[in-house]
Amino acid sequence: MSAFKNFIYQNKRGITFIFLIILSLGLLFFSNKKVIIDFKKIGFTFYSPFQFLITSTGNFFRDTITSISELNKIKKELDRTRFELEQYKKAIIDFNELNQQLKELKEILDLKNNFEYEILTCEIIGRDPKKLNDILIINKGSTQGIKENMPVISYSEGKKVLVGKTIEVTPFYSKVMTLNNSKFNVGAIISNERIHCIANGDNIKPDIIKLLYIPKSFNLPPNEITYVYTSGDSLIYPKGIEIGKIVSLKESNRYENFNEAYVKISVDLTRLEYVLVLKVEKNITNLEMENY
Amino acid sequence: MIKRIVINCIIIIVVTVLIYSKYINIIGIKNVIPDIFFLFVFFNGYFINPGFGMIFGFFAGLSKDIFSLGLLGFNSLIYLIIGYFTLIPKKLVEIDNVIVSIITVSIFFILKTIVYIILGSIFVDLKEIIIYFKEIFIIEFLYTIVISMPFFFIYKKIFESKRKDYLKYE
Repeated sequence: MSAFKNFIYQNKRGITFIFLIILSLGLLFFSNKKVIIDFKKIGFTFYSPFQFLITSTGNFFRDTITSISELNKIKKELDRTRFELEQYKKAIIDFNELNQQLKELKEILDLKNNFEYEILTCEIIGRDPKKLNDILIINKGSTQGIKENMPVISYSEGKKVLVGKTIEVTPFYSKVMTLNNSKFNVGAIISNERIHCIANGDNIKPDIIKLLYIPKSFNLPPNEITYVYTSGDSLIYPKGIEIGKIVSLKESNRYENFNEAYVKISVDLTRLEYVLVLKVEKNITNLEMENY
Repeated sequence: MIKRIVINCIIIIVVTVLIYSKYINIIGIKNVIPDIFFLFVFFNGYFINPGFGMIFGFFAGLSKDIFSLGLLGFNSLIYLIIGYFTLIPKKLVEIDNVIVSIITVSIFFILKTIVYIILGSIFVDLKEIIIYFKEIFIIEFLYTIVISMPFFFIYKKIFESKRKDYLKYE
């Protein structure tokens, strides 16, 4: 018995090494096969308060410094705004009349709202350090009604643009996979030709993604911007959200019948601070998700 | 002992939260940051004790895995191996100046990359490994080497006597 104890004591480093190797491999296999206890989520929840603390402290200092210089700007802005207000008062009378006309036209055409879903505004509080814009961490989670696989959008130049989808949700925080991520796919439609294809995050450049399965017959119109939108074929994303604009077309290396295109995404992920989560709830089974 | 555990737990938590916060892009070069945990694991293993470096590496990797999109246990296995193998330079190499430190750190970074390729080919999508080499590897490697210099001076100042004690004991 004492010889065994002696052996353990003399080889404690090696034994610890082997034990930790087995533990790591065990964790790898567990997290690979989606066990019921999700260790990652438990750990992520544990880190949430620390993440909050760092973000809040950083925000506090940034806001304090910014607010001093902002005060002067606001004073000038106030004078200018007072002047403009007078102008707007005159314009508002015309506006009301136009608004009434618009309302009537809308009723006649029976236009539906673009989104019939509830929208939740979230602040980005973290990014994946490896590729800063692949994964975003937002400050809302399941307690605010966010679930996995909900589309995430943003506003850019007055348009709704696609950011990504939620992939991991904890009570107070969620992870968003952006359309830049190599695992990201979405059904897309080319605006002027109405061609259905698939947009795929490729990570070649931070703001460029790939468009796959474009028929050979499609040519990029010269001197014209060709936009790409979500097609609505997807189980997750509603139709008509802007993805980006096509910058170049090239022959596909994989398929003879199709071309590929590079798309400059409309959302600037490096400057994004707030996003909107669309509470789209479709009954997607695990099987459908895997096939998708 | 308890003091050391608490300090290192705090280091792991703070570094993890910092590298995953939005403020980290201040120091990012083309969105790539140095592998800070790798440096902690290497210098802990070399200057304090390879066994300690190994355990620190395991928990640092685990902490990183929790935040990243990858599999749980992937980074912990990589850092665990790095920590364990610091016993080789600890016995064979006298890191007494910054040049030797840079060379040893470079060798270990390449070792880390080899382990990443081996484990990655089993557990990770091949596309991710290609992206890593295309976009991240060179910048991360050079950046980590640069950051290793202040790490070396700090560890040498604090733990040099501990390292010599360990060698006498061994």
